[in-house]
Amino acid sequence: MIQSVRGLLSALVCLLVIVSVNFFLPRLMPGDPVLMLTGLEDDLVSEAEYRMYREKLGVDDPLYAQFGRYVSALLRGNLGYSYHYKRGVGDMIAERLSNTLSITLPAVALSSALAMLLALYAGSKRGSAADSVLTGGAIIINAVPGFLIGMLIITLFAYKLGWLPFGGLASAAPKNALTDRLSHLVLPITALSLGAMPGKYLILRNQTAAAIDEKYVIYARARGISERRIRFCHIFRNVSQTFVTMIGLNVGFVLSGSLIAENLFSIRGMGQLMTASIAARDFPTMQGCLFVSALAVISADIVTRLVCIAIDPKVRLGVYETE
Amino acid sequence: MKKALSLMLALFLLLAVFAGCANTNTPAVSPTPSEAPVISATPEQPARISQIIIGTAADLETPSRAVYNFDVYSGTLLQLAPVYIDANAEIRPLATTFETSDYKTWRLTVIDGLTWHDGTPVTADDIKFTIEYNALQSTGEAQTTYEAINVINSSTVELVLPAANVRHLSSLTTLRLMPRHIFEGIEDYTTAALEQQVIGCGPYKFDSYNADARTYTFKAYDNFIWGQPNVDTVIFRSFDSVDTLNLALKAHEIDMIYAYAGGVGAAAAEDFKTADGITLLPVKDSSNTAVFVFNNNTAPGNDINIRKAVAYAIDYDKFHELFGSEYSVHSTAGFVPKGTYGYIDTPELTRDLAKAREYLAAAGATGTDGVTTAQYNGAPLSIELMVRSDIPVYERYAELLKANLAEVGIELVFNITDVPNFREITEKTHTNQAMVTKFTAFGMSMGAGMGAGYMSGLGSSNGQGQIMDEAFDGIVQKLKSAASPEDYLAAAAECQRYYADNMPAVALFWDSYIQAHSSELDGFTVDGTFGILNVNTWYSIIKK
Repeated sequence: MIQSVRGLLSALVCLLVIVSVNFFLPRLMPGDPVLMLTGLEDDLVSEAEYRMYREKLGVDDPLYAQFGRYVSALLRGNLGYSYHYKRGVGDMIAERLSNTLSITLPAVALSSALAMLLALYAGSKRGSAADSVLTGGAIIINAVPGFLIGMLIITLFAYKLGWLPFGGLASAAPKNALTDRLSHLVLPITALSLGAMPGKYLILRNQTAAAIDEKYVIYARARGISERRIRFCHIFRNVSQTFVTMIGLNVGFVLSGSLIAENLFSIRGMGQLMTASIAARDFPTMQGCLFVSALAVISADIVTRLVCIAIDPKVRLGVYETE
Repeated sequence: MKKALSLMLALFLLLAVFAGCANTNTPAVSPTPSEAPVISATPEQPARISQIIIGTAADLETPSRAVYNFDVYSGTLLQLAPVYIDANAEIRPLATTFETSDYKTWRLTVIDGLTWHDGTPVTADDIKFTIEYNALQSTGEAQTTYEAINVINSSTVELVLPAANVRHLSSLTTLRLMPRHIFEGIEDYTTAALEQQVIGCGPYKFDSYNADARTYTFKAYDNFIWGQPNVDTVIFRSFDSVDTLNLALKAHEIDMIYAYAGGVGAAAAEDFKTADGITLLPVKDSSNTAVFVFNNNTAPGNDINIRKAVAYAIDYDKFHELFGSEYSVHSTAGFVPKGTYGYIDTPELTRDLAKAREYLAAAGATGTDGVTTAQYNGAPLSIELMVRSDIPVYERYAELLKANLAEVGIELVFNITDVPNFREITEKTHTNQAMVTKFTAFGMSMGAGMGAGYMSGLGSSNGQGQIMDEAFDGIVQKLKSAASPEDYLAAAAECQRYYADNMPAVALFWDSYIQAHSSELDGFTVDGTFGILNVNTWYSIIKK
């Protein structure tokens, strides 16, 4: 319980720090905050326009008053306005977020499921041919850069075999929107899954390989429990904390970490929006993206902590705290 | 375990279904021309092409006149500029015919029967409105200032310049006419509704923007005065990765690749040569493909001997070999590419390290054997070279330049910068010492032409060469005020001789744009502004 409260408090502090950095950065950087926030060119903006924006942004008010307005707007879900795109930042992020999540969440689920199945199998068969092949394969994939995996997949399935489209999330005029969308999702999800799988596999495989000599496993075998049940119900339960933490980290970083896949497969997602906003020095959009990413990382961290507490009786019952 | 797996599978499918429902197609703003009569093929008339997909590496955003890429593509389909430049750099009538007797007063007459896509006739008032409207927008683009704009009648307008300018019409080749009846009263055109933003008077109407597919779709406008174009539907499709774009062409998922003022890279062109069903089409490039520009107003670029030393130290053969296509040619000291109106022959640029050292010695530099950095004015002879980070090949140019100049003791220090900072420096602060970049054909022809807009420090804010020399300014004024083509050609020749004598900038090589398209397509028309994609192409293109 105390751990949960501590975790929540530290998450809140982190969020507050990020919100503060987000707010103060464009205001404390050298240069005019009005030009910085609007992206206007000082020799193109008229005096009247400049005054209008200065008043609108309230930059003449004390910093604490501006900060209060900023936090209050965030609490209302208002992430600001991009003068570069001439659109609300929240609207743009919502539009891009759904695209990013449509490839990253399935990729996290798929890579986790694959990593879990293969790692438990290979770990429990430590030293076998299957273990060598799977672990060797995972190390090789882990060593290959993400963009290369993506290009290889595109070359094979889109170019050579012609089974799947090259990119985008839809055809210009799809006959069936659902199948069309699914066919466009396959390659980016596969590329992302392959990139995310080896790390989780290698950690879980090593933990499983170490656990098979534990007394509780020998005892379970002596009781005549099937190997499959030992793997999934006994070993996995004991080694799952690290695995769950890795999935949590994956979920947290999927918002910003899918840039390579978005670029290769021409998907207008969060990674692309962040890159474009940095290139255009569009501070409101950068701030919005950073806030949403931070929120995702912190939320994933909280959920991970809660899941770890739920699955580990030692944590749940406060054994570590009493020790 | 089975339950866990089933749950994961269900979650995956649910997400996929959810994603499938999130189609963000922008609805069509005009009815599709499905009712349009289909012209059947005859021996004289080639079969109509139902659809062409054009791949591009440019981003496609929500369409608007303010969105650069939409504006460029609409210029090839949706809009009709008053005039265009043909492949031989000749100005030709498009939306208007033109006449002048003194090159100061230009009379434009809208061609008979030209209408906006809502059926309203295009008028002389629209031309006047467009010019005045653009002048009020804070776009930062150079606007021509007219002494007067007189509407003579419903179809004829008279543009009166402050002084004669024989090349004035070249500045109208990218003018996107605006319908007065739509935009009158709309203070900021970027806030206009989509239907208003996309109305044009060209042979195609805007149909839809699909954010998920990353496409713009244009459909043939049945009532265009030239009749139906040869292609019913034109789709632009954006790819973020050039590698994926090239593969898509090889797999024939797209019909051609298009880049405004560009083509496919030399390496990709080599690859396409061996691919099935792809044709490469070289288009004469009147832009300056790769240039080394000194800031002529800052040391050491303000020293003519240093500039000449740099020009002689560059290995042009290597640039030609490493970066040029098979159609690339050596550049000349006159800086202005072949094919430019007013081009004259000047000496070809060649490498001569002995001469480079002579010029360095004349500048007072010592230690130019290339073993260490030379000394100049009591300090190491170092030049900061600004390089844009968004175009990777510029960094490769910079690396070769660094190796070349090091051989005579000149040190190049790179300032790799993002685009906003590049613009800040080139358009406002001018704090750089030199830069490596490209000058587009349109940019080279702006203002006085001959690239003077880029080179003069006394004219536009975008004077990247920062030449403050009165002699050069005198030439620019002659170019601007030429009262006849003969006067202009004489000033153009003088300008190129100035470049050759003073080397304010160096053209590293000249090249052609290599266009890659499906071998099934043929009959492209080349335009001096847009290359092979232009309004005329839609009436000449055929499918074999």
